[in-house]
Amino acid sequence: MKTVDHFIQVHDLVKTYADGAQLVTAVDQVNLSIDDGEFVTIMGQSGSGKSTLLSMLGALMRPTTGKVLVDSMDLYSLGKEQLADFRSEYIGFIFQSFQLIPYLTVLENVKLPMAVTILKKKTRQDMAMAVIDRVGLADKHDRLPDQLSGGEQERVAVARAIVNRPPLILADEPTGNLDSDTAAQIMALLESLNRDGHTIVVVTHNPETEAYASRNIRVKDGRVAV
Amino acid sequence: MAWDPEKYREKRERVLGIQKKGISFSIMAAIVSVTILLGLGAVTVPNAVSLWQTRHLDDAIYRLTAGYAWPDQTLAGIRGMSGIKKVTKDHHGGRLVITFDRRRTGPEKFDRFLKEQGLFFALLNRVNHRQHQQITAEEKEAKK
Repeated sequence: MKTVDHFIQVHDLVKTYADGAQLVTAVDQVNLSIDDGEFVTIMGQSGSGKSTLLSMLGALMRPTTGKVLVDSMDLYSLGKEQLADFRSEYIGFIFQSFQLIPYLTVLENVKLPMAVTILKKKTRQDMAMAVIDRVGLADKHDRLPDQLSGGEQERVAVARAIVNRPPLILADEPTGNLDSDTAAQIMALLESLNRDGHTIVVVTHNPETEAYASRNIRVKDGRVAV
Repeated sequence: MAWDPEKYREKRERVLGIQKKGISFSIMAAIVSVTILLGLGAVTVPNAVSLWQTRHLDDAIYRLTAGYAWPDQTLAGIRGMSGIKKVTKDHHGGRLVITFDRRRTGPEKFDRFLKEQGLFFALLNRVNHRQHQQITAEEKEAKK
């Protein structure tokens, strides 16, 4: 284990794809650090590499070269099971397309991340209901996703992301499918989670979300813009 | 905020699979359970084996009605019969206890053999071997 000064440290991160005969460099020599409790937005145009960078921060995509250290752990030196445990213990993911299971209720969707934990059924139920209440959907916990509005579905996604109490929440365009009022509500919700101690990293191309963050990182052509 | 290595130590240890020092409650519970089961097994298994092995045995108890001692050749003859487990004398040699497998032999055969030997005898009792052992043990205990 390395001694580090920041909760997240990224060193010389590179991700290349083969696109036919051409080699595409989605992320190019990125170095950055994020402290515990920060609210960071990663902004950039479509295709700038920001989502690829987020995936590598969340142990979802192995970099071509470089290192990602979270809580002093070099993620890509961990084994498969350790990486799965890391994602379960540390990360709450929020996706633009919500990724809810359509045939499960709100409550069942939120309980999903706890399916692999050793928590008792009653504890799981209580924890899930607590976060559903937190996102303001207590009265709709038994609805199916298609019975909810887009903003409500995003709230379910947020509840599911925080139910395991992860220190780090990674959100990929969380407001991309929402109108401006609903987007503001979701960002306010993320802001309140940040006040509760969650470190939040939001990938977005929406400049309005900048206002909620304590720091903005701009990515252009796979590099962090200075 | 600078990185605090203690803040998420438990999570980090779970991810890295670092074992805590000492024995967890579940391991302790497992050890206690296994110990209890082994202890019970040590008591019950030999009894069960003994009961299983002696389930077909009976004892036939004979007394001489004339004469004072069972001839050795008679005892040797009984021991040579099929289905005999043990032949012992008790009550200072006055009684003969034949332990036998009831599926293979019985007092009718012993009576016939003893008559052939020219002995005068009486069959005092035929009893289950385990029951007889228990009675004998109780009698010994009562004499102490």
